[in-house]
Amino acid sequence: VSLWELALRPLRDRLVEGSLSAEETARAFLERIARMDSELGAFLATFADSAIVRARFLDGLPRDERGPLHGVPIAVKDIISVEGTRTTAGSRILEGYVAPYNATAIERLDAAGAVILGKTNCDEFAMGSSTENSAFQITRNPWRLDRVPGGSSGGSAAAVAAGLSPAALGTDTGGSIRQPAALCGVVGLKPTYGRVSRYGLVAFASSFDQIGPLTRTAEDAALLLESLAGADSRDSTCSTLPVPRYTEEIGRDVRPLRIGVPRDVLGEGIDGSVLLSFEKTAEEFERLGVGTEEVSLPASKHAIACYYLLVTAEASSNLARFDGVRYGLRTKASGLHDLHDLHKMMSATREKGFGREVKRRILLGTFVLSAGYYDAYYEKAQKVRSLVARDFARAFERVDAVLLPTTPEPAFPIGAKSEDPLSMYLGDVFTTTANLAGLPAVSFPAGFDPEGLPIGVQLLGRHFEEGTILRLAHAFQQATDHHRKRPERAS
Amino acid sequence: MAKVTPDGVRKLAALAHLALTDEESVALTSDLERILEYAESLKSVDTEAIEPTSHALLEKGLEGEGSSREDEPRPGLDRERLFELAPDAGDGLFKVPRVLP
Repeated sequence: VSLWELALRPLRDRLVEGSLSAEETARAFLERIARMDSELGAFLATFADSAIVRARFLDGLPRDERGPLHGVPIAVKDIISVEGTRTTAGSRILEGYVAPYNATAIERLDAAGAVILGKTNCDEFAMGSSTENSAFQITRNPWRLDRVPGGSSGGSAAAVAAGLSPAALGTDTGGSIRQPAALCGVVGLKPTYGRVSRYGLVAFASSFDQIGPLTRTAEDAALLLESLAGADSRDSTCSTLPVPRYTEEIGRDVRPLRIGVPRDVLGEGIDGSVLLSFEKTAEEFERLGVGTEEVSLPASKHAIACYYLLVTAEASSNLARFDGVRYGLRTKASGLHDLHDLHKMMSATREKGFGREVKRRILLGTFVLSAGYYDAYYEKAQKVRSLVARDFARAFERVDAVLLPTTPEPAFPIGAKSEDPLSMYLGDVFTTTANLAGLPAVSFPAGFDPEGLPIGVQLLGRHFEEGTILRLAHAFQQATDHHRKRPERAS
Repeated sequence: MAKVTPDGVRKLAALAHLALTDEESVALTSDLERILEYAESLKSVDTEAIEPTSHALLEKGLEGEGSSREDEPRPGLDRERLFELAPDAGDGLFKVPRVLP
């Protein structure tokens, strides 16, 4: 078995016991990125030199000082700050910006012994579902190069699917970890809102954003979450609840658990092979001794409208900080002599620095927050958000997890939706509810369509019960092979 | 339903410090129209006596105790290093176009 074929857990075990060095591991993945990524475009930057230096340091550590992620290479979505390196968030407006500090998630990975390979491509400010909104490059799906990898964490998903990294960090505001994970045939975990610190994450919609792992297996997601999760005084929304031993929880018996199946949300426009994989997954859980029952999520049909009104409002406020004054791009306009000219500089900078989708969302957010529309749109959406959460709370009185498709269709062709924002938004039909309600959700491979494109399903759990949904996904992966299949070009 | 016009979009753009081109104003007007038309469906939802949610975990009391800590001074990021990131800075200040006549 080649190094790149190993999941994170077995790789980590070899690194800790010393049968494999961190340096040869880092070199193997860096070499593979150099050889394969020109075709995929998953990475915006690689840290060849610093990764080797770091790996050598780790190789020198005695066994009892080796962390839970000792020597494991990890790729990081380029919206998470890594000190001393460019952090672009996929945007021209952060041109020249070098992060002056590490995100808490990066500090945690460092402390656990991980080696950061590089930064992965994403939609600008994580706004998109195809990674086509990156200002720098498109990323291709390793399963079929004419397809999108999903987004916004498309670079991270493509990197893991192609074996360019055993794991990656992504961020999920309305599905940006789970949707690309589904489209690329890997596992993607969005933790409970507040489980992982957002310090050092470039903010899109602060009451929705969460950092989480993309991996090959649920077990690997559990291993990474154990290191990433936990209180942080620099993020006041980060929970102080103790972090469970997820890697132990996933091994427990799944038979006492029950799964809710909300068939009322499976309306029209869902691909036949997605529905088939979904039903087969429910049957597989029955075989594993997990009871399933119908649950109802009536407010979910309003989730997309609700989500896009709220996140654009938060984004219009968050993105006000990019004004050409403190960091990033500044457009030089001539003859600046008064306050009017200061505003002209800011407007010109933002006009040049932001892409079309970001402008669209800033305008929509400014609209829904403006006097006269606030009640009808913004506050109304906040109330519907309460109803979405209430549906899940009701379901979780009877079941421990809710099963949903991750996406209505497998990976779509590059360019198919980039000119039609609404059709792109509608693809988020199954993912935004977890963010609206702050719930943890894990997407995992559940089958393939007739063309061989991967299909994902997701399990949503109660707040802070990542251990339960990971346990179910782990049991499913022990019993099935979908996650073991690799794209041909990766072999 | 709220009427979105290119003029209205230009006003929003001014509020948001975006200098849109004419082509962008027209394209974004029709995008916003379509998105808001789609969002009309929310109006049909009965939200009588429903409280708005601004933060999914606040009402559950599950959010971190860290949400209000003592406001005590502590070391921050290095000042000089932050000024190096600015497009224009000097004398310990960020420089912007002159704002007084």
